[in-house]
Amino acid sequence: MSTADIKSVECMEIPEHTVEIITNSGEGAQKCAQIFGQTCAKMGNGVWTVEIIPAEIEPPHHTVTSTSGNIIRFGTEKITNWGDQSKLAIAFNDQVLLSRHRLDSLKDDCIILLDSCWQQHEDEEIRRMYEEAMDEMSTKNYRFVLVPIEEEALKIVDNPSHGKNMFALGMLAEIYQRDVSIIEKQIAHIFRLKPPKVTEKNIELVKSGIAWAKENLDFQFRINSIPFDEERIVMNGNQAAAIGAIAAGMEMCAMYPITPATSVSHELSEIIESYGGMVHQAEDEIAAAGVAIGASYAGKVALTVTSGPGMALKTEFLALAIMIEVPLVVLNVQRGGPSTGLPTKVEQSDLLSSLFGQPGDAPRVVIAPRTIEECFHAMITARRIAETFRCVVIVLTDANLATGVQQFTRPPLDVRWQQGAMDQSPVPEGLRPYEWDLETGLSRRIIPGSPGGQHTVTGLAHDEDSLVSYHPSSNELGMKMRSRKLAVFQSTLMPPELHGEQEGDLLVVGWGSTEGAIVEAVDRACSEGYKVSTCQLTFLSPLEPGLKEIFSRFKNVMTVEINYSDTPGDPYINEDSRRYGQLAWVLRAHTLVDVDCWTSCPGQPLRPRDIYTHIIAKLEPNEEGVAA
Amino acid sequence: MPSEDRTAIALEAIRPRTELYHSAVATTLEQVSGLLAGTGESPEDQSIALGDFARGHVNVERFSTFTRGSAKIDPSAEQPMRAAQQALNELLRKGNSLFVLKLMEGANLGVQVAKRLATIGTAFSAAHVIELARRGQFSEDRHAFLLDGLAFSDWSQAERALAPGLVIELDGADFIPALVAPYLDAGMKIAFVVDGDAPAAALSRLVTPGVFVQQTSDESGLDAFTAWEGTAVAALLPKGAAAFVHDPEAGETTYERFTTLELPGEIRKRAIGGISVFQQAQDLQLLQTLAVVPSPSGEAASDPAGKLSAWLLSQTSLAGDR
Repeated sequence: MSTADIKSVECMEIPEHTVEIITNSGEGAQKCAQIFGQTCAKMGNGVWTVEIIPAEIEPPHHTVTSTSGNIIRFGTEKITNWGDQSKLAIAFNDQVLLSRHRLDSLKDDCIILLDSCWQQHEDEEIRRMYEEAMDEMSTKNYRFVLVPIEEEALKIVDNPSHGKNMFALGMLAEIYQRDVSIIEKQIAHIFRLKPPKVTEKNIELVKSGIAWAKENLDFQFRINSIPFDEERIVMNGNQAAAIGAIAAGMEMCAMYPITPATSVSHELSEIIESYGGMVHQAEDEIAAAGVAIGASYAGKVALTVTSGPGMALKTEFLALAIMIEVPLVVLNVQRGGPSTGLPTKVEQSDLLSSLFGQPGDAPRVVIAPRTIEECFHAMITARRIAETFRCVVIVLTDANLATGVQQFTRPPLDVRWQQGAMDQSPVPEGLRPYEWDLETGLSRRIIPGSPGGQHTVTGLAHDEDSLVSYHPSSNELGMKMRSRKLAVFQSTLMPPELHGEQEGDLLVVGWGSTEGAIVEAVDRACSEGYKVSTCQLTFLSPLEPGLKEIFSRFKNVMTVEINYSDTPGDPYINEDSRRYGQLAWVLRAHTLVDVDCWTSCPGQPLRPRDIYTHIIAKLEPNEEGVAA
Repeated sequence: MPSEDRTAIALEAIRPRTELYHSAVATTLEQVSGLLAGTGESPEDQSIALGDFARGHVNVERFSTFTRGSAKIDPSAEQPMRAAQQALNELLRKGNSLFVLKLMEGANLGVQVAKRLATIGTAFSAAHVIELARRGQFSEDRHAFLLDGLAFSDWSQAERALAPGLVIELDGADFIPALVAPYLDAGMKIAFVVDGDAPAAALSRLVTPGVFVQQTSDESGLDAFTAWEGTAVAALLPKGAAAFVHDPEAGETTYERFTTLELPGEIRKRAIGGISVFQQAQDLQLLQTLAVVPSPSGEAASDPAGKLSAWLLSQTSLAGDR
């Protein structure tokens, strides 16, 4: 541990870096990081960001629990995950830094720019906490640079909590040689609804950070970018899903605010009316589902957005949608569970509840985008499937995709995504609301407003006329037809592609946002001679075909997931009692293959190094035959 | 500054609204073109409609055997759809001229604005025609008139929110802004470009709590008008008129919302067109009533309101001249 001696500037060219900005909640780390991430992306770097957000709105400041921040991994090539550890951190106080140290988030030789105001603080208790924190962190070889962040911010603003973040942004701009004109444009955009002086002050703070870094820091990093011809856009997964919904021609989004899904509706509400749609904030989650179902029944293209606890509340209404066969897209931005769990943290918590969350047999389609870009495209596919098969389609994203920022090629918008799939011509006389094709289970979707289309719907068992029927054969037929549609859709799916060799010692199976980290870990293992491949499933109900045959080509199959599973070797955990990760449960039942799993639910995305460690442990078990 | 230049400035000031409107028209046009072209039938159409997420996962050819060819339109729907398509194309062809109303001398402002907005509203009625045709509910007798225009009073709230705004070029003698009051709703923006002698404070009659109102002789000052996201009206007047800004977000009470107030050095004591001296004085008195800070003694307080009050007193000879 050392305090920097400021000498001549050394500029290192590196392929990538990971940076953390760590502050008390409310000190603007997210804004600083958003602008920095956007700037890197606009300069052509690959970028992946991860937010660190406390669940409380305003936790006590200057404590390890008040940490709010953002991790930005950026590099010359495409970046697909948040990496292993941060190599540079800007910390506004010792306690938030300590929280990151305790989570082993910082590399051993991490450069830490720490606000200098705490070391000699007038409050003895704060000085004591500072010393203890520094002592605890002395086990690592961090390089500390004490920076008068608050002091410098106070030269420009009265309240440093509203200025330190932009000073930090200025330092980052200088350290990584960022294009300041892009930063200025980003600031102007973010504060476009505020008086001009707000933008001016923020730019002044950035310039102040640049000047301080130029004068006092002896290091810089250069991360080149690869020139690209196509137009790129930069956004997070919730923005991508919202814009994807509009691109897909969705006309109505009914929702109730819930973290981390709410920003989807914020994004939609800003623009959807320009495209003829609307956002309806209902009085609760149940009503939101009801409104979306009603809109769909009336012929609109409807969407509802939620997260785990909201999904639980919508359970009964989703069963109604399945029973009456109205097309409905449900976007579930997963967070940590059970109950209210970890509102702001990531977990792949809702696979099983999405697949089986209703009483009786309630078949539905479940898909899971793997990247932020796919959050956009998944909405288009979801709409098309929902309307073709008159079914509920659940799109499972998560907090990692929702709040992370990634750069991708601007999708060429196509009007065919929006084309009305409904037939609203007069309904032929005698055609019944559920006139199922007995082979496929499909039936024409009749809109009640179409001439001759008036009919009522019911959640009770019904016959082809949509009349309540408890006759055994009616109920059997309805069940069969609703299930048949899923089988028909499954017949259109193709086997998943593998990353790596087509056979080997281990196949790692993942789903959703973990793809980038899994691929990076698998590639690392392969480079060391291990025979490992991976496959990331995107269609989870129905499952893509051929899984059993694919699994048979590998000696071991293991899922990697961000959710809970029992660890072999723990008290009472044995072959009979062990509970598996959610995808592992599904795959074991589906393929009858002894699929193992490594899962973790730390409330943050998985790191490539941890996955790598468990891949190796699976291939080279310890003495007890148990993965480490 | 020539009126063409001022019109260009006013047009620029309502550009976010006109872009919004053009975008909505273009989107509707693309949709109807897609329907008429029968897209959704070819394998390529099916593949694109299913989206990139399905690529490599879904066999599009097989998937398309289960779609219902629902994009097909009934032959009877084709004629009204083509008529709606033509109407939308016509609106787009007009470009920005659709949003500029040049009022002939002596013409009735209210009537001409109603007509132009009805033309603009054709975009919305064309969308109605398309929907009716798609549903097989279009009737030549009952619905054909829709493509002749849609009166502002028949626009839905969602349609009003898409109103592109208007720039109105007119002579000062025809500047009776109260005639546009019925159209100030749901984010509508109207900018007057006034030539020649004009009443000094005519726009004061449009001041209501939620409407941004600006009267100026300085063409560079319309940024706040543009930035305001609600209903707004502005007038670019020749030098010598009153200048004021009524910003609904600037305060709770009316006088707090006046962020700028500059008065003319003198007022001509003669009628302008059909607008009498008394009516002009009423405009100014209304401005005083709205903008003056009330003081405990009941007298007008200090500048700028106090200044206005003193100035109005100096104009007392106007009182009997009707």
